[in-house]
Amino acid sequence: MAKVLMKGNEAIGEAAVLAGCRYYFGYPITPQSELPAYLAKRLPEVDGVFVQAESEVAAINMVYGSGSAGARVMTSSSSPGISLKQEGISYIAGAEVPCLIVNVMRGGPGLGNIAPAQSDYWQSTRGGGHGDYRTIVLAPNSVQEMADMTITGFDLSDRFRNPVLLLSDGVLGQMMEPVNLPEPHDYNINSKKWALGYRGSDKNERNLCSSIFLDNDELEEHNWHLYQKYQVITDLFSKGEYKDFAVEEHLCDDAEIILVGYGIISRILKTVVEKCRKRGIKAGLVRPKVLWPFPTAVFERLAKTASQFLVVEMSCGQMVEDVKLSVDGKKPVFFFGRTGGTVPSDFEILNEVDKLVRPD
Amino acid sequence: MNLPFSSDAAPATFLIGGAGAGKTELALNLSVFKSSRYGGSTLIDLDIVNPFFRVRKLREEVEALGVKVICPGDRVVSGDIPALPPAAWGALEAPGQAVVCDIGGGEPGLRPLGRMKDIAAARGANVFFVINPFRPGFTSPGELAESFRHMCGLSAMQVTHLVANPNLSGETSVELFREGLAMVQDFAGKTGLPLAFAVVASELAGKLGVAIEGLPGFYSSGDLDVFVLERYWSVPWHFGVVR
Repeated sequence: MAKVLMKGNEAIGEAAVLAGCRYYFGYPITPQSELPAYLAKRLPEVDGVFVQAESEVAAINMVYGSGSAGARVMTSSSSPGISLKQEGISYIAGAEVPCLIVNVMRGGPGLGNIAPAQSDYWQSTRGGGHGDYRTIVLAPNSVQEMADMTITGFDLSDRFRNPVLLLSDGVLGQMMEPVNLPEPHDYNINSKKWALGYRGSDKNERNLCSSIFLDNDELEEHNWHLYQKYQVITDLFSKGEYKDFAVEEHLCDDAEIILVGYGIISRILKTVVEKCRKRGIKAGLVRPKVLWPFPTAVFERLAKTASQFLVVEMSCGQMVEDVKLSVDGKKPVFFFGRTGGTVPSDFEILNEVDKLVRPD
Repeated sequence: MNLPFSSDAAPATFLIGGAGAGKTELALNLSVFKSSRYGGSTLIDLDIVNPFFRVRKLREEVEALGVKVICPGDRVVSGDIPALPPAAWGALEAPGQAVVCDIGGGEPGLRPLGRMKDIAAARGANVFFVINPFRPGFTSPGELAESFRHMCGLSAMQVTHLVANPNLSGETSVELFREGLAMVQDFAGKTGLPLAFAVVASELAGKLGVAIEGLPGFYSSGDLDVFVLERYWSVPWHFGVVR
């Protein structure tokens, strides 16, 4: 397929179609509205279903239903809308229904503003809803990755029967870059033996997708089952087949200061690292591409060689807590953040690095 | 160069087209060019769609170049509500000042333009439909024709010229530019609309044999009129594309 110039929001929409997603339920909100707008036009072209629901709460429950029936299904929103979806996400995780949820983050808390932010890290990685559950959280940093991780997200979701969250921000959603779109996937809605309405020849009993377990022992057994699944996922991302996918390192081998950032910030940090190197500062970059499970092992290893860490986020400091937990007090972890919709410049981050490595 | 759309001492220009066609970058450049040519210009930000990449973000920079910027008031300048600045009507009615209107792309951006249909006609405005044939919805002749028909209907404006802006951002090669240009030229032939000019990034202009004397500016590349851009957007994440 020839390259096209796409917005991040559009790239997610087209990649979802190519991944075999034929069901989308959502509600408009800046800065992600191009995604439902794209799919409103695109899904009918492939006999898919697009519904602008009456609310985010309705949309996530439509996702629950479609995912339970075996469909590849997606919803998207921006921060306040994702907050509204949390009850449904908890139900979906409890019932082990695969789906892809896209958050194009904007400034919060509350109504906040429409400018880009990264202040939903806690909500995304801790689970904003109730109960012991986890969502796999992917963090792209380019329009190409918005497309690629959409497809990966659907695959992970199906494999682990777990909701996957694609966590981007307003910059990534709105910016335009050339994209090489993948070839379309074949997806068979009747391929999941657990799904409602499965019609395989080896199936005689009715399937049920539910998160209700009224008996105490049954619920406890279910929760430990989920916990064990999350452990399997964590192992696969920390030392198994997704180890290399989960994190990117840049010039870390001899680095004295490690800059840490995800999403759009990681691209600015790469610029900062290059500038540091030109000034004789041995800086490196760690960019978590997966935020849950968090790539803890990388920080454990680098804490042995680097002198200090600087975490940069478009928030007042959220991921920095996971970095501190991973470094485990072995080296100092500092933080620099901008919030309210301001994207920090390479210049001001460089100033922070200077303060740390050249305190005089 | 005496291009048909710039012979007027104070032309009004509307830029319409699909989302992401490159209208805002072109609007900034055209207004700066007109400011230097006519001793001042007015740039009207009518983008009610794109939340970030809007003229108003660069207000100070272009005003320093003699361009008066009209955009929604301070209380809503960072919002996403369909607030059109009332001063836009005054600027369009006032003779003697070159005016460039940047319109938000796609359906929601074009629809409010209907309110300006009469004033644009009375002013004899140039209405440029900007086409990037590497954007979704414009990548084949059939798609392009359908998108053009649909968007012209939404805007209620009578398009006077086409503008070719074939690019894949930083990955635009001479071959890719020519491929896209040929598609827009073919479409111009079918519609009977004149192709006013092609938009070229400064880094590509040299490869097309254009001798640049100043930016932004109109030049010739063979028998093609090109408008070579100055890049006004400078974004902190531009460098570090992680692959």
